[in-house]
Amino acid sequence: MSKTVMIVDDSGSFRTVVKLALQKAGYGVVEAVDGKDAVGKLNGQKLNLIVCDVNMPNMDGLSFLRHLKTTGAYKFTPVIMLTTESQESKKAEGKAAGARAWITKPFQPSTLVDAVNKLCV
Amino acid sequence: MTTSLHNATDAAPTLARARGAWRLAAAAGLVCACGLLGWQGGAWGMGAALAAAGALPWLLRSRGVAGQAGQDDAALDPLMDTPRVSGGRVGAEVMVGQVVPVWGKQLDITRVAAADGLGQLLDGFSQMSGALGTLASQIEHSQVSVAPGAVDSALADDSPAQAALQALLAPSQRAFDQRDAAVAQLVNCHNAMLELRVLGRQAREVGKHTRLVAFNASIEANRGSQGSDGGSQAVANETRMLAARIAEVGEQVERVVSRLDRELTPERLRGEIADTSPEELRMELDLSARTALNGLLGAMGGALRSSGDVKDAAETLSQQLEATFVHFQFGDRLSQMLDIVAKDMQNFARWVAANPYATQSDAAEWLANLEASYTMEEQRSQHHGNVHIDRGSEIEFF
Repeated sequence: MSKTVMIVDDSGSFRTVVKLALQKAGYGVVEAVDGKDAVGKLNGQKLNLIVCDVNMPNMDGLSFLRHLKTTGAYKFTPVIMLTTESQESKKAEGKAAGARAWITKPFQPSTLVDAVNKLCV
Repeated sequence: MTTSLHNATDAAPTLARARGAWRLAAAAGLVCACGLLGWQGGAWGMGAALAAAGALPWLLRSRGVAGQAGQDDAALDPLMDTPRVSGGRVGAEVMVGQVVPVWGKQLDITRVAAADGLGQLLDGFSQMSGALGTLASQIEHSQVSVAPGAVDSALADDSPAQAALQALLAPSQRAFDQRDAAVAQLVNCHNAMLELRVLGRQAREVGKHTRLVAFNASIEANRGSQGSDGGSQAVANETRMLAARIAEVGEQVERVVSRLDRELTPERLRGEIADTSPEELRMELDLSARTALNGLLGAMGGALRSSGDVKDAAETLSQQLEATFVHFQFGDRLSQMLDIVAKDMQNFARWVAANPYATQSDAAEWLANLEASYTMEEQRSQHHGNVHIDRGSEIEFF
């Protein structure tokens, strides 16, 4: 049974690129267009990892991450932040919120897959 | 829009120069009029001339300002270089409030269209990538090795091909076993014939002895015939005939056995029947199988090389697609930047509306706030007119 990764990004293009890379590596993929949509799609389903953008409408990535860490079922689900943000203060904020890795866009699909392979539980 | 803006820009210096020329002409005319009044107008004329002389410095100063504006500020937007009051609002603010939203709409429409086009393009490339992945997988699973030693591997003791060869050999092996059994039976027959020959020889010897016995009996019968009947002679004759018959049978047995012996000599039988051993047959079969496999693999070589070429091409295309997906992200970045610039322009328009008499320090503060709002390194670089050098994807584990 393949592992499942959730992609949270308001950009359809980025979701497509991430989905292609992960599906090629054998992962199942669940998509969400922002943090609010992601919260609605959790539904107790088994997620092995979450790839999340930072700047999104409705609920941004860091808010979603903080919400996730208060949800028992997903408290230990690793989260990779995939964002154009490169400010150290933002990275520190993400780290404090519980992110396991920070990837700056634009990214090499192979780099993302390596990180997912390393962190996927 | 661009054309009208250029026309307005071209017209601005002309207008400024026209205003300056008018003021110069008015001043010159006023000087002439005052001179004429002072010369011919008496006291009233002298008073008017003095008043006009007082207005001259204003006329000449205004001309200087207008001329300078026409020359130095020609590069500025002509609609914004000179604040003009319109319905209680400053002209530049009015213009910004009306023009910027139009630009914002254009940016939004362009951004949405670009995002749609990019999405469709990406879908196309996604399908290509999927098809390539399927092709590469099929080639990977259908690949047959023709490397050196492939025939040896195919015919190894534990290979399926070897089992098939053994199955082919099995009927021949059974035929060989039956042949060997037949030869063994013939050897047994040969041995039996040797015994028959001995028996035939013994029968002939018995015949000889019996004939001697019959001869002696005949002598004794002749000697005793003087005092007896001819019965003993008859027995002797019968015995002689029996001996002859025994000898004859013995000779016949020997002749038959000799003839059979000549025809069924085991060495000759082996020479005619067992000229190929099972081991030789197995080797011949192995050699034939290798020849057939070599031919088969040789014929497959071209097809496999073609498959390899297709596989290499698929891998190259896959790498190119991955690079293309990275470039697609720049398209998305462009869309994101357009969105940010559109929002900044709207903020700027609102700010101008709230601060119609902004100073240089206000502009500096506005720009500083703008820079502080940037989330991307490339925005900070480009803010200062520097070309951002993208260092590629960076990953940081926590």
